Amino acid sequence: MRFLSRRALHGLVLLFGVSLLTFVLAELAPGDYLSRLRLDPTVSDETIELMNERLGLDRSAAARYFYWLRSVARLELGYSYQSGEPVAGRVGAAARNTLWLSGVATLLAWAVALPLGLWLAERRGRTEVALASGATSLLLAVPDVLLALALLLLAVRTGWFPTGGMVSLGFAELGWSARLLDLIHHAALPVTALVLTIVPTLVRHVQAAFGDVLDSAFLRAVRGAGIPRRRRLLRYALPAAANPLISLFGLSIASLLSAALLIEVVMSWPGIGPLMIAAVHSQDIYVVLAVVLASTVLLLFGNLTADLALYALDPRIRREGE
Amino acid sequence: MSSHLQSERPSLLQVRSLSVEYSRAGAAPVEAVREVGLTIQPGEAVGILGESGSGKSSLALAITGLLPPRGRTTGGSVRFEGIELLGLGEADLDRLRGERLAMVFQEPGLALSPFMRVGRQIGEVLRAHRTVSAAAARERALDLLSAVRIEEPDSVYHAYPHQLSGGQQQRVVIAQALICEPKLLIADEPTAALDTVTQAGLVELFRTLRAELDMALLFITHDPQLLAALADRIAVMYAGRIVERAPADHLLSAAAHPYPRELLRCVPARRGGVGRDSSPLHVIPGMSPSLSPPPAGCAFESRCPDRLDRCRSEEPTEQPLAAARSVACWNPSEGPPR
Repeated sequence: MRFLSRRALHGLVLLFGVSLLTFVLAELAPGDYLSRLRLDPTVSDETIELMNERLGLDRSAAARYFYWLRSVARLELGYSYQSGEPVAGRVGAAARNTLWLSGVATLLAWAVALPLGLWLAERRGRTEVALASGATSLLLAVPDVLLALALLLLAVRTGWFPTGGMVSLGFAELGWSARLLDLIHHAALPVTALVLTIVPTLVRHVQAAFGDVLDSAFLRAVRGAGIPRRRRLLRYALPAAANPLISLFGLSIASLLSAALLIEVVMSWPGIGPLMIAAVHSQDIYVVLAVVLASTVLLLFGNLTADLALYALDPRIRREGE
Repeated sequence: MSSHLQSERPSLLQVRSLSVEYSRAGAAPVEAVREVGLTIQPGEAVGILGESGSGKSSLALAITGLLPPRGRTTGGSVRFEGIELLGLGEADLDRLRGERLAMVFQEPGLALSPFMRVGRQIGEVLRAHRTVSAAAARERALDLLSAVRIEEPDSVYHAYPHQLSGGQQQRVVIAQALICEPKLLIADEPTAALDTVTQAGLVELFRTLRAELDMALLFITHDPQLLAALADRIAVMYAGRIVERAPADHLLSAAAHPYPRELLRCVPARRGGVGRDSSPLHVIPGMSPSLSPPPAGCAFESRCPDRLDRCRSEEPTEQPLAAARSVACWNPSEGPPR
């Protein structure tokens, strides 16, 4: 399909640009991985020199970038200065955890926002709508970190939820159903935090999109034809409102991902958030590059899903693509 | 308010002293329809003539219970087949609309879902009101496409709305409206968005379908020429009120109220066949008044060539003129127009 291949090409170009930009920015930062070791009086200058050579830090920036590109082609994504291992494995595992967390949160957030937004749109102008918009404004105004900390506080006070990590000790010995329960138990807080950070925005947009459609000449005509309410909402209003919502879906993945990085750090979820922070701190530059690349891939994947959904839904777009 | 000179046949639609207003944030509401009465007999074609803002669309929406959230009826009664429609629940209205009482709107492109094939949308209306199989609905939708004179109904059945012309779309909308064989079809400027040739075709279609289906028609337009071909009776609306009602030929040839007289002068005459008519087009001076609140006297007073002193202070009430004719004017004309 031409549409898909064009999209894939766009994605590759974007990934290349993002990696180059990240590399340049990281290079511009003062110091390098060895800066801290140099300050350590117990490490001799000879050791530093040796490491400098072994890690390739003595070579030019361009040479190191091209080395990294070759390594990307081998799917290793460079190696970590700290562990000396290829980055791909570590980042891959972390990205899986992030994908898991933000995927569940995305589904849940939309599962809440769609019916709620529709319900509010149908009741536009009434008191409950004003109350709901007050509540969403309040949630929007609370910073994500504060929300996460409040939930953590709740966990600490009540002891109902674990305060960090993704699984309990001894996870490996559990049966699959107990594993799943353990996972859900650990994910509950970060997922809740993520859902709460994004639901207010989604509800607002869903409400606005449906409100426009419900007031439109189109829905008036559908009502005039006597199509019953349920069918009207699901078969006529929903597809008509879906266009902006699907684009929003792509955007929601982006904002969810950036919120996820933060929440992972606060709630010690072993995703790419904490990995990135640690890598930036120690100037483990290839890890930073890989993490940025991974989150860009997740983002592109989200947008691609949105585009495909749009394409599948709207016969007018389908025609243009042919 | 209006005296009914019709015989004692049961009316299909009886609107009595219906008022509609639109609320506005931080301002007085607009009284878009003011105590309008209207009766339609089974099988009859009634035209409502008025310029934009006269309240003619609001009247249609109020009758069918489709007013937007800002709009509401503030009084009066709408009886359709003996049932009071004002205050009827949305679910009951859903059962009625599209089944006994159908509507066609101005913009056919906006009335159809862009996501569904046309034939299916026609069949949906039937399936919303009757228990029929998908195959039967399909069969009937195809029949209707032929009935609205669509060439190649099979290919149109499978088309999406954006693949059709405006005229075809409006025919599809009409097919949708007629599939349950309604007793009354309300058409609100159904041809205004279309070109002249398409318009003429649709007017012809309305005329033949009405005869074929024995259906009453309420045709709302700003164009007197369309009503000449379609309507048995015409009611003229201005600033939310009906200012004159008369049989179509009477109204178009010898209106009594100065507003329709002026309106008819605005229609460019086709004198002397081919060749440009060099006489300037007639324009009614001024604008229709604000309806928030409505003026104390006659709403047309400021634009009226025949105004009297009392027109400014006293609103004229509807007076019977002759059989089936009435006018709301202190100084009605008689005889043919100037």
